[in-house]
Amino acid sequence: MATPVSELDVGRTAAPARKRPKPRKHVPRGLLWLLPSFLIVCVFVYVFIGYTVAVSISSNWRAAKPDLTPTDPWYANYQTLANSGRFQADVRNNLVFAFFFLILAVLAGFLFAVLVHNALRARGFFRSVFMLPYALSFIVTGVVWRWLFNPEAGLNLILANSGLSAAYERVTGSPLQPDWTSSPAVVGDLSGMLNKVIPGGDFIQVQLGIPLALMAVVLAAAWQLMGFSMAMFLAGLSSVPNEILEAAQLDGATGLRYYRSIVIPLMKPFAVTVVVILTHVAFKMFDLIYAMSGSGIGFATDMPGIFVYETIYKALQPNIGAAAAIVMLFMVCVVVVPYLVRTGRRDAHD
Amino acid sequence: MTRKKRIAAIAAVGASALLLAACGSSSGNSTPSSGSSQGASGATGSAEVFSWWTSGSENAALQSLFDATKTAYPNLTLVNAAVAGGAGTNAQQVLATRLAGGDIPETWQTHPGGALGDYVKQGVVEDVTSLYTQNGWDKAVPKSLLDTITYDGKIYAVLTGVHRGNVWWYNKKVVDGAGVTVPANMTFAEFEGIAKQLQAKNITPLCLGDKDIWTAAMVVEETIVGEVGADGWKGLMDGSLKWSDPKVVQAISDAYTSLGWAQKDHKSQDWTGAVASLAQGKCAFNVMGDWAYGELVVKQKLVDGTDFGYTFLGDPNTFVTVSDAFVEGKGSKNPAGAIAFMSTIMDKTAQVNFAKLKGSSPFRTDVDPSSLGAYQQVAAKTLSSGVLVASLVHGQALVPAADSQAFADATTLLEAKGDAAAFAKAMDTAFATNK
Repeated sequence: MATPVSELDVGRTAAPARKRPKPRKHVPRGLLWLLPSFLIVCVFVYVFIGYTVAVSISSNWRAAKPDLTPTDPWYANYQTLANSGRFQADVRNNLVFAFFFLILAVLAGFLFAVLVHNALRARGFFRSVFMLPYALSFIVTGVVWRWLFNPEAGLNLILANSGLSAAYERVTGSPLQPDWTSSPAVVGDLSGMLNKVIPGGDFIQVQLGIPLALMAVVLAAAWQLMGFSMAMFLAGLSSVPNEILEAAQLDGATGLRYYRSIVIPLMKPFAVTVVVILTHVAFKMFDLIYAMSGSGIGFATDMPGIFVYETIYKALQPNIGAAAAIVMLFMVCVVVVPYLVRTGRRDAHD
Repeated sequence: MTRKKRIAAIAAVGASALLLAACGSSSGNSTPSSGSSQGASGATGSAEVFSWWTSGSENAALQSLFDATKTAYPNLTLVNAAVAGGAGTNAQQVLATRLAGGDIPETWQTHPGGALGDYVKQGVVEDVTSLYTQNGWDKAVPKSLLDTITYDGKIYAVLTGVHRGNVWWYNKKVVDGAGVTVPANMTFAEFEGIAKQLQAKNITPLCLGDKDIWTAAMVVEETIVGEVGADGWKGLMDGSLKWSDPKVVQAISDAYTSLGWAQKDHKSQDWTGAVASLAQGKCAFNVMGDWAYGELVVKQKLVDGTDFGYTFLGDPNTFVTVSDAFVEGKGSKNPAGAIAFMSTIMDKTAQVNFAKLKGSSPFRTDVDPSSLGAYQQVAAKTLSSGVLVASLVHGQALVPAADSQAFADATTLLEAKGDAAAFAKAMDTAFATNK
């Protein structure tokens, strides 16, 4: 008796007449709902990325006169980038900034998450206070920290008036009045080593070290985004089941041991998410730095984002700007794609 | 259908409808209608004026042009399509998008030299030589300025006013109090002597606000112009003089010395902060174009001659020009409207009224400047009788915009390392590669 049974009857009949191909029937309909978003993403993201790649190898593309004739050789624009001292400084800055910013933002976020999680009272209040910087716009943060880092006002005034600067002077002989974002110093220089590793490595025109001005920017950026990592870790800490805490207490693992051996391993997936998201925020950082210090002395705080902006709109060279944008995309993909692949595989397993 | 599926269906239909509406509205603007094809005197309809003048004195000056156009062409409605932010870069970005999409504004603001040349190469601006010859404007404006808006013998823009870039403003009270005499124009050696005298009295010689590097680049540019002269600068722009010439390298080195006299927080200040510091007497000199005049007189409420004065480096008759131009878009809906606006800009009364509000000198040298401020009268006289050279920092020279960016980048490195020879080499490379 093969009576076609509609899906509405599933719950009602005790024993269906035959095995119905329910999963297969839903797949085409699901695809249909996805189709508009998929098409939009395909065109506005992937096709446009492809067009940007085409512009990046063109010799003379302009907005009102789109001429995609490639340069000869096709990688000429990328060669210009690689030989550009400013872009070399930008890539160095991007990597140094991302490294220190991640360390500071993740550790500070975790620390504050632990403190807020274990707060005896006014937990909501403290959570809001630490989250508030994250709600600010990057431009606001940039301007405020520019004022704070002004060498003649801001933090330096606090250091001078609190006596810290004088105390430091007694020990070292010079007052504690750092240049913050006005500092031209670059600590360390790996360029010498690089010359030995890469043949013809003397095309590097910048010191491959840590620009001190950038550390001031790291401070401002970490202050703002620590709220985000704190929120993630708070969610993670709340998700640790009570049974584990009780079991740990029973087994004698309390305090620091509890955190080291139980909580931190459980926080790993949250930490990975925070690191990936903050990395791509760091790689695309533009407005905070533009508002705070611009390109800095000797390009100490310059970023690929600022380079792309100035190359396209000030130097009117969209092809070189597009090449820089593709390099930025590549840098972000190196971090994000393995993460997506890994979570994709994990979801497939579940 | 279940309720969930019904909601999902409605949402999808709604989203698709929004998408179609968005696509539909943008395609509606791409076909230019015939508009008004009458002569400018009968201009009707509406015309879009695209600029980045959105605040303060600039907006007031733009409004004066709008009012003058309304009086002369009562049937024409001007639409103010100004875009704020980024000192014009936001506006240029929006404009580039509109030009690519075929939604051409009737007229837009740009700079003579490289930026205008870029639009000419893209073929998006109309030739307005006939306007100049019909109205006799080509006899009423400085020839060298006219050359910066002429390509292949055709003129493509009108200028609203001309600012002078190479002015050394100083706080008179601070300088007099230190017992220092500032001549009407000085050599770099004299400037260095003055700076040393000021430093001996613990006064910071230079107010600099170079969070935006163009202010420091201006110090370098005006020092070079002051030392190599107008002919030298023109040679640098057209390639007949190399940047690595010893005279030029010496000037770059002197500029670096000047930058060293700046106050400690120069990297945290923008140009208005530096002018404010000058007004408050925290430092003595400020190298800035005469848009600082409006800032000093109107915002800081100082008196020309009593509170502040000005001097020049090198020949006082060498006038570094920084001006704004308006062009007629090719393929816009109402070209007559654009011509009406551009004709108003060149009208004698409108030129003087604009200059009063913007602080610049009128483009036309046949106007009566007696109603302008004291400094402006001097500037207008120099404009008509002096030697004019175009500013590279503000993209006014007849070289690609990439060269201006190269100059700014070279200044960033100069501030860090002080290597004048490297600066010269970078500029020679840039001029050779960017064509």
